[in-house]
Amino acid sequence: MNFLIKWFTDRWPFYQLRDLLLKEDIPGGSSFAYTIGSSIMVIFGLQVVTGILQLFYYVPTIDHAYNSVSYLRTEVPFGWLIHNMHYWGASAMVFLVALHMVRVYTWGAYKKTPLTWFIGIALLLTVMALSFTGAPLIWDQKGYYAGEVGTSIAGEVPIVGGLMEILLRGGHTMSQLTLSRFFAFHVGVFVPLLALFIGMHIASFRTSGVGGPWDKEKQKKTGPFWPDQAFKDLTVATVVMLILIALCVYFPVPFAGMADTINTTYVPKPEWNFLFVYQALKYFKGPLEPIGAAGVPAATSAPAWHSPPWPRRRR
Amino acid sequence: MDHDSRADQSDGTVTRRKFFKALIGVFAALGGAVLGIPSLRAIFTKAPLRKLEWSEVGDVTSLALMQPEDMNFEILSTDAYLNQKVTRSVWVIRHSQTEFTVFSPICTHLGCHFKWDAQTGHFECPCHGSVFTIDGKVVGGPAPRPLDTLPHRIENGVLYVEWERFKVGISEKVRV
Repeated sequence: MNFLIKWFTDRWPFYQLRDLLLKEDIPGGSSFAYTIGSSIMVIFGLQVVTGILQLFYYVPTIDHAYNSVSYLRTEVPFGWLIHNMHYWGASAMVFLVALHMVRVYTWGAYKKTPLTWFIGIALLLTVMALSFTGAPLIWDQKGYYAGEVGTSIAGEVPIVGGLMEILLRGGHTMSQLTLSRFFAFHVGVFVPLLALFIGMHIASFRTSGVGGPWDKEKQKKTGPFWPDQAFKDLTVATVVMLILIALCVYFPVPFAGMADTINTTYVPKPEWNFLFVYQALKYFKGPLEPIGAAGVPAATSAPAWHSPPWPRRRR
Repeated sequence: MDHDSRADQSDGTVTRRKFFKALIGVFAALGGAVLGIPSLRAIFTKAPLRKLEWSEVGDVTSLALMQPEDMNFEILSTDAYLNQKVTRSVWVIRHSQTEFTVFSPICTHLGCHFKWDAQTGHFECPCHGSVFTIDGKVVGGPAPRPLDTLPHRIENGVLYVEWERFKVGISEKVRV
């Protein structure tokens, strides 16, 4: 066995990569405050695994999508857990990304590592895009209207709105082409994009270093990533995982019924992470609607873009 | 030397670092099991056996004696979340006024559809060359068992069949 390991590691930089990942001195030493990013990574892994498992059963067609998901949830062993984990994992991802940004903002770390921060905003937007394109895939009442309203909002964006609507819907109305597109965007476009940005984010953070504590005195002392920080990371990730399992068991996603445009008793309401747009549209009516549809979301992310020092040519 | 290996040098005693490393292993194993077991269970699972139902194949009063006939009919198929009519076919052989044999059209070797060759008077599978007599016996090729018969009955000259499938590639006839 040992000679095989040696044969492999002589030809492939396993130890170098391991050291690159694990041998890091953290200014001020390890801290539970720095565990959010790794928990997001763990959830990303969880989303990939549960996503692939769902692909074993899911079909992206408007006549069978809902039934295929219901079959997974009711007939397949642990199918309920797989689907619910993907659902709650998505919510946890959005929540933890926001928490991660608040943490980095509070510590002032974004000032020292602006590129890492900018890639972080790209990650937030990609996560939101995944959240948006994921919901309609079930083609249930909730998902259908999330897609209908969401693509209508995209259609109201000044100038490019019409094109965006066609790009997302594959036409002017919600149809099979829309479901195919949401599926392709969710699985084939935004997941690889997220993986790419995560890679860039980590590379950038390992190149520019980390912010560390705001107290300059504490910065002088350093602590190792392995195993001190890794232990804290894994502890928190385990707790996050347990919370997710508890959510799946005690708060499973309701079966909302197959998308039905004739039933008028259903009142569509978006997921919590898109509620702010929903509310904004109640304030901006008539000709002002594009402000709610495009202005408010843009304004929400503006402080994030504005915060760190922008790149400048040296004089 | 880095701080990592330096801290591990105190043999015999459980250092704080060793303890952390052990705990990391425990957490990772726990997470792996919590994710791994459901994942594997969800993939290594099979769809339930279909309920057997009699399907009407058609009128057989005009079939010639000892001339295998390929007959198509519709069954209501329950395939996971799909409930729909699908067309199946069977080989029907009339032995006498009232005696019939119904063969599943699926070769017992690896699941291809075999054909009747009127010239040689044999069933022949185009995939790997299995040859069967009109009674379904193997006379050539790799097939491990005779052709599979299907339960059938005749009512007023109309043939009814219980469509089922069997595991291929083995010498026993096992329903799947």
